[in-house]
Amino acid sequence: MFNDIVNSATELLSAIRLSFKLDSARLLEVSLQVNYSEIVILSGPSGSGKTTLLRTLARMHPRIEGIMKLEGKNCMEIPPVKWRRNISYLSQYPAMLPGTVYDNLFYPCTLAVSRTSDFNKQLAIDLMQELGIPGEFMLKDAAVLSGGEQARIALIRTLLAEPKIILADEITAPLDDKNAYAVVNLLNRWVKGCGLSVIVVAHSPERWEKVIDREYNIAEMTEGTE
Amino acid sequence: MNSGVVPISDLNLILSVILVLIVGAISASLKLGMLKSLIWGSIRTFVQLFIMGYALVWIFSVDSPILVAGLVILMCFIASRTAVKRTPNISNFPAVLAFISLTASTYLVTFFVTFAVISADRWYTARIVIPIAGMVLGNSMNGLSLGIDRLYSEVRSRSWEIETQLALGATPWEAVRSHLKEALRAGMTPSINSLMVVGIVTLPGMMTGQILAGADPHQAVRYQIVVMLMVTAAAAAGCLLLVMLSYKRLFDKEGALRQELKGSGK
Repeated sequence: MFNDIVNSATELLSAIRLSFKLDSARLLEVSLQVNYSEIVILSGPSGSGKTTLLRTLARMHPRIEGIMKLEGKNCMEIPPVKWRRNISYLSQYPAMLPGTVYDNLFYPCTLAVSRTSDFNKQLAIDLMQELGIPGEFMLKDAAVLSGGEQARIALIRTLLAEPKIILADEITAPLDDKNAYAVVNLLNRWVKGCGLSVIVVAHSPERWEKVIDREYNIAEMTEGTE
Repeated sequence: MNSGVVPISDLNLILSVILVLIVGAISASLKLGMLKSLIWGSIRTFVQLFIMGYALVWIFSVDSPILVAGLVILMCFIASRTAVKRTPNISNFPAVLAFISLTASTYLVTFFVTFAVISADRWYTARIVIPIAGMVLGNSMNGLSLGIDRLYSEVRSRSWEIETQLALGATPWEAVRSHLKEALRAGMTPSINSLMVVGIVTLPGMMTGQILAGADPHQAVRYQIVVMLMVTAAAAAGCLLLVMLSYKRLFDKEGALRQELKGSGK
């Protein structure tokens, strides 16, 4: 009983018997729980459905059955747009929107779902510098940035949208070790300091091993459901 | 002024076939494989237009509101089916959406022109409504095809960008707004291009026809201006309506981009 109370108080996102199609032949079913302020790594071989699971959790891929809850509230009670703002999927190929870096970072503030249209420019510059991107890049055309720079700008853009969970899909893949660790450390700081939680899919899990709180292996989670 | 009409006799009409025969001979000698289509197309032109001529004579003489309204709807139906067939980037697009858009824009523009511009006594004056609806439909049909096809091709090629926006909390509308603008632009470009060059590069068919039929060129020009503007307005209205009616089809019930529209990656 006491454990149940503790679990419900710390539980941020839960998925219960969540099923989704991986392709025309495979249907996966998983259950998982993510608590406040934790980094969870999702491991498993290539093609096992990690990305599709993240996209299903973000309601960007159709779920067949099952329940998802955010802070104890059923996903059916939360509009998809609001859900995606809170559970933000960050792809390994994040697109830069047309315009400057500033336009990209400001973009989340322009959306109807945004609680405030105030853009914290100083925070954006601080984050850019922390990730090794000079503040002057703010006025650069986002399309001319390198792949690694775009990946870091995309992460900052997502952080500035203030989601409760980031579903980080191979976000350090285009980065060298130095920049990858800067990203991991930044996220860890936000997790510990701001209550953010992160679910990570990574081909190089060693970059994350010092900050990971828990691990889910998708092969074990989906055993017998294919 | 109509005394200037130069009638085309049966013999004159047959003489015009010589032009097609010359093109057919060239096609055959170069083995372009177009001879059959050329002959079939020419026969269809004769048959379809003669039937249309007789039908129009009958429709004009009956001048019934039900007949006129029904014929315009039939024209819209055929045009909408043709419009959705000319969209290589879309499979199974519902013709009903194109039909609604074309019908609404055609009726709106045709009756505005009939009433307000030409000041016809009756809204169902077949001699005015049918040719106007025909011209409006012929052009908006192309605009609609181009617009909706561009919308789908834009979304496919920029699906990654749209998904990024959705992941940040954008509504479907916010995520595709800029692509809707592109689609509208594509749908309206032919009409706007025509406005730019008319009278300089091209002499439009309707005006040429009127002049050949002996009409005063000043009046023919006035009619052509009305036609050009109404065609542009109809293409814009039809395209706008179709894009607004169909953009939600790009997304599933959760507002996520449909699987089949996703690109293969960056």
